[in-house]
Amino acid sequence: MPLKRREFLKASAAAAAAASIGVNLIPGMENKLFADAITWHKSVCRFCGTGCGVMIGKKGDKVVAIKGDLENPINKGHICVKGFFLHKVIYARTRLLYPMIRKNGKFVRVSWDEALDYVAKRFNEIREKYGPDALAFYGSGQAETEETYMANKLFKGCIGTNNMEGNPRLCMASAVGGYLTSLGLDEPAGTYQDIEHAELFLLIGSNTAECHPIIFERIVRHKTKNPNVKIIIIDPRKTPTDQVADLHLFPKPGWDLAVLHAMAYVIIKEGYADLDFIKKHVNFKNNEGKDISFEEFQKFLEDYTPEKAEKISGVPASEIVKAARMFGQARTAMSMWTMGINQRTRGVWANNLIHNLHLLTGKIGVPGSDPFSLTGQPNACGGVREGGGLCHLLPGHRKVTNAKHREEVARVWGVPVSNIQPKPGKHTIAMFEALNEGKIKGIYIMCTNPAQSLPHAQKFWKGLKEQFVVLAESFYPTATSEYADVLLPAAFWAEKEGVYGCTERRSQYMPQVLQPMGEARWDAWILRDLAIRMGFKKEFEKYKTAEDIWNEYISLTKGRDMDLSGATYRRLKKVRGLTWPVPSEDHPGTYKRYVKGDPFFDKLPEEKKKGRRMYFYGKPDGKAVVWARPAKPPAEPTDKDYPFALTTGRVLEHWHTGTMTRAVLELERAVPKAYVEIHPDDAKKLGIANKDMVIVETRRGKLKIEARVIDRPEPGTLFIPWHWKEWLANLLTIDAFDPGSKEPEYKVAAARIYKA
Amino acid sequence: MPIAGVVVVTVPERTSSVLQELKKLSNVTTYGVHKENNIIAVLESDTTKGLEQLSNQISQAIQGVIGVFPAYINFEDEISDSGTDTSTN
Ligand code: SF4
Repeated sequence: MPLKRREFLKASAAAAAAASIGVNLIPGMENKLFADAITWHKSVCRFCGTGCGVMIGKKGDKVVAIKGDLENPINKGHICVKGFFLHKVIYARTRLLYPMIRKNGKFVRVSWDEALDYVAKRFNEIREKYGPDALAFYGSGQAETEETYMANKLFKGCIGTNNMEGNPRLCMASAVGGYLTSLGLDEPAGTYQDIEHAELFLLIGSNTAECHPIIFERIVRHKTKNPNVKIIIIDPRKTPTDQVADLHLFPKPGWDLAVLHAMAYVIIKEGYADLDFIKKHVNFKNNEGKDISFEEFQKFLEDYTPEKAEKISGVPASEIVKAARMFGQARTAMSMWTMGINQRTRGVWANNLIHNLHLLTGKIGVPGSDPFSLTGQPNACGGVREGGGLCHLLPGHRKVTNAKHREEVARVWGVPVSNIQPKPGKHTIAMFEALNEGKIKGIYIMCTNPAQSLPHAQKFWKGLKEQFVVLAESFYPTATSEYADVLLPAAFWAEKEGVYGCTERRSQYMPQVLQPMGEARWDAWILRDLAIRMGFKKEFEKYKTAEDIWNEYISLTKGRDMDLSGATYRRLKKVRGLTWPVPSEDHPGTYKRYVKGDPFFDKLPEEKKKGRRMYFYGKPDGKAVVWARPAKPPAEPTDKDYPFALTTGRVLEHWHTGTMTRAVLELERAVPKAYVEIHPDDAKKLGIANKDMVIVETRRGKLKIEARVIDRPEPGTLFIPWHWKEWLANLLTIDAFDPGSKEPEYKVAAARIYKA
Repeated sequence: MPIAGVVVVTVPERTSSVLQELKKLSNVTTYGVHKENNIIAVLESDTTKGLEQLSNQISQAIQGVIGVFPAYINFEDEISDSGTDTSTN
């Protein structure tokens, strides 16, 4: 490259970086970036639920550059290291390029016609012989809303089974349960805008620095500018997030409910509760859902004084008191949590107890205060929670059990209402168990990798092996493709258009900028054409463009709490997403729910709002609920045979089952294999040295893996990142799940460890 | 030759020592400290892999670095060899 051009490139790159923090380094330079050669397309990152805006730079028919979208309010031009490699994932050698059918044990390349005819025939045979509930769909929080919508219509509306699930069941179902039971409606009341107004952050069960790096950056930036801002972490493991923490409480894995109760106890006892807010906005309920008084709630909390909570959780009482005082004294507070809270047999309860702290102190509904759950996948909120991609849901935050909801959806789908079953289908674990038992005989899996990601994964391989498995994927091989009978190549990010809805209720449009690789096709069209071949021509032939699907979907959201009817493609193509409710095309989107400015609040009759700053309109009397939930232990506490608490999680460089990030050589080499973290004191007692090969064993399986002796986990705790199929952490995890949310307890299993 | 424009966010008390360390790295060009604790830098390497290693080296080996946040990455020259070896997957 000629030096001059390189200097120009460097100056441009520096100017772009400077612009991302609002500094004009070289006036005019940023705009000159290859003005002549590269065309830029506004899109959204493919990885985590943060939802960063990226600009895709295309030259000829290739993507040659990525930059953070300066105009996107989420990331304001920055991206994390995963965003660095987005282009490489598109061009990975592991892209699945042709449809394939397994014949005599081997995958054979076939035409699309042959593949779809075959799947349609097999699915129809199963349906006729065993009924609709012998079929199932398992989707993804990475699929676009349009794709999940098509699957929902095909399975619930046409085939007639509610056996339709998605991997968000494994990551945020407990957060849904928490929001519904505490605040009345799913998804946060606030948005990322609260970050810059918060005086205190409570990060619990979240390694924000590694898993949501741009949110972390915003927190750090805000704290740097405002040294009075404080950060409390509650997590059994030290992570890079600790660099900025003011206080870190280390509960034993699975025992943190008592800590949250003890904080509530101190908050009330020391006068930090907002009694006026409580009186006007809060009901108290016991675990059975019966109303109790504030006094009875306080009595309940006497079982969780800081001293008692210390005995339960291992966190020193003095630190619990300190955390409670910090929370109570801060003018505003934002809690953030993710898998460490959700992936638990008491995930919903843990969510409730976080909401309790905000409701007791009135730290909700004002800028800077919000209980704000973080999501792992880019469209778990948009496609699956809002789009209704779980076995009990219908599009637009509707439920299959509600007759009116079924009617509304059936009308728009153009199907008889009797097609939609009034009972929820099988939730994820039950679905894969039914596959094992042969009760489900055919499954369509889209954009996800359950053979690796299910807890106690090996238990479910039997069903995948024995039943008819169709896998629509962009990559091959994956752990799940080993069990597939048919592989359908799916277009990847940038090869298709559609909408993603991220953590903060923001729906954003992504354009198609490339032709799909090989013979890959858009998932929504694969489903449409399969549906037509199964006999649902009338119901599906009308969809000609992605916009057709989106328009029908948003018509179903009209008047719902997550109203997106004003978020048309026309608008979304211009703006950097819209935060719902967006009830009309001239509505700017909603910053905070349940308060003035929220169209649903504004519409309420005056007498309802009288004297109140919030109205939780998902609850009959507009009052949120503070729950008195017992502090239940994990499903599998440690004992003398299995004395360690094993917890699983993520590293910065990889994402989920590694299908995408491990296809990028740079990321793969940065962290090429899994390891088990063990505290130096434990390692010393067991004679384990750094890099020794060890066996980690639970009641379900064993894993031979390299030891990393490091003081990140507390003594008595082990940690394994779960991205690798060769060191499959989910051989060890437990498939016990939360009875409310049906989300499994990936975060705690009893284990032992010894030298291999 | 891949090139990345990044913001190196530092712990405020350590900004100047981080800047000194960055200046020692031959394939890093710094463009000053901005808004208190942000260093603008350009990372260069022969491969994206090199870029990523450099980014890791900065965030892990230099004390006081909170994070390295890319804003712009160009890999124009690398795209022809776009296929990556994923035999492990
Ligand atoms: S923080 Fe998440 S959305 Fe943003 S660039 Fe990184 S992976 Fe993508």
